[in-house]
Amino acid sequence: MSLLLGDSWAPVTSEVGFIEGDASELAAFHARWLDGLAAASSERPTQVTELSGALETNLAALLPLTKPLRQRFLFQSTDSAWTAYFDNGTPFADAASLSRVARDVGCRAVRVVAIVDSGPSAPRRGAAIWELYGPTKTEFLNYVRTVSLANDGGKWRFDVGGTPQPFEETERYQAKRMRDRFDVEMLERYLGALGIRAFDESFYVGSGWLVDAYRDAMARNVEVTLAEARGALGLDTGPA
Amino acid sequence: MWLLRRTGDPSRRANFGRKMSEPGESWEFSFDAFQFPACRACNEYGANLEERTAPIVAKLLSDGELSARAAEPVVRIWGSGAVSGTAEPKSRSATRNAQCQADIAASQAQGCTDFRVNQQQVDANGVRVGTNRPDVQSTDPNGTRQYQEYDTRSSGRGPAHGTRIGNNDPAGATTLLIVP
Repeated sequence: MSLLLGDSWAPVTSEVGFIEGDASELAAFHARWLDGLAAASSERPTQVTELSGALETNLAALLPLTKPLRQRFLFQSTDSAWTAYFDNGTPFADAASLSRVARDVGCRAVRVVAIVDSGPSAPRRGAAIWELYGPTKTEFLNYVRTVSLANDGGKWRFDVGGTPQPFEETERYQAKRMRDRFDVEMLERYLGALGIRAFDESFYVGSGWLVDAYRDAMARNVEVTLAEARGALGLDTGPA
Repeated sequence: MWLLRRTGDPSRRANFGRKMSEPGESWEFSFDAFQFPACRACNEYGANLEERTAPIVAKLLSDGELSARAAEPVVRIWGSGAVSGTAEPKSRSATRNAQCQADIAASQAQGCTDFRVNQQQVDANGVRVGTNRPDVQSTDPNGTRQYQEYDTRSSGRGPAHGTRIGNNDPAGATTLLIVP
């Protein structure tokens, strides 16, 4: 199977999020929240800009990538009730932060990580992670369900938590070989059951909303081009 | 020899017991000069084992990656299951679990990102800096990596964990929390 945009925008598209709600409203909500943080810059308020290009064009507005703090966030409309979330963090985005959004807005949100493993000595560690967040408290924060297979420092680790959903292929979790318990194909089917076609470019239609939130602490940020970020993971330079 | 060097001055003097013939006196030798008596077969076996174990210990001490196959000599000697890598449970007690979740929620509300719970240590730039697993890690809005270790009053392991976290990431901030 092929990942989003043929994985040519990895690592930007390696970790993405989905939130139930309107993209423009979620972007505005996120901007207000960022402005309310104690570390917000008083000199440069957060800006929200509508982007009407194709997905790749809108993703390009996130560049350059920055670390350790994220400055730009993209809330992209889809052909469903879900809004896609991308950010300019490197080495990866932080879609787990959507658990807070789900709690504050009162909706569901999903974190998706899909990374092809490049081998035992390669810098890119594989992962297939699916996390579903809800509006209310659960056994762990507001995490409804988590299924994760990840190469954590050279060792594969499989974890499940929360309440199994009806569409899950739970029998696979018993597979003898850990890497057979969950994979990107299963992840795609789980997302499909929720109405999310994460790896299908045609899913992302309509406007995107870019949130640009500069803070004083970002003066110490390091900027990284997409080609550099891909190079660090042993990938080709990606889109020109 | 490498073990002697790892544990201090190789020529430090060590006490090997009292001299029965001279009351009040003891047998003292420089460690690197002392030879433990053993047959040739045992000596060769021990030397071989020592040579194979040295890089494993070096990797462990530097938090390097270590496969189960590579660590086989250590596992055989000490019979330890540590290499199997059984993860520590996310919570050892309901109190600690509740405190941990409350702290995560509060940190999220303050703008912290990149949380890792009971996962290998990663610094603010996303670089893996240790194979130890801090209880909670996140990056605050100023870009400082924050580490939280939850410990019980009777455990006493918190300070050691904190020292290791700090050594792995001197730019980070570690908080040790005592929970009932």
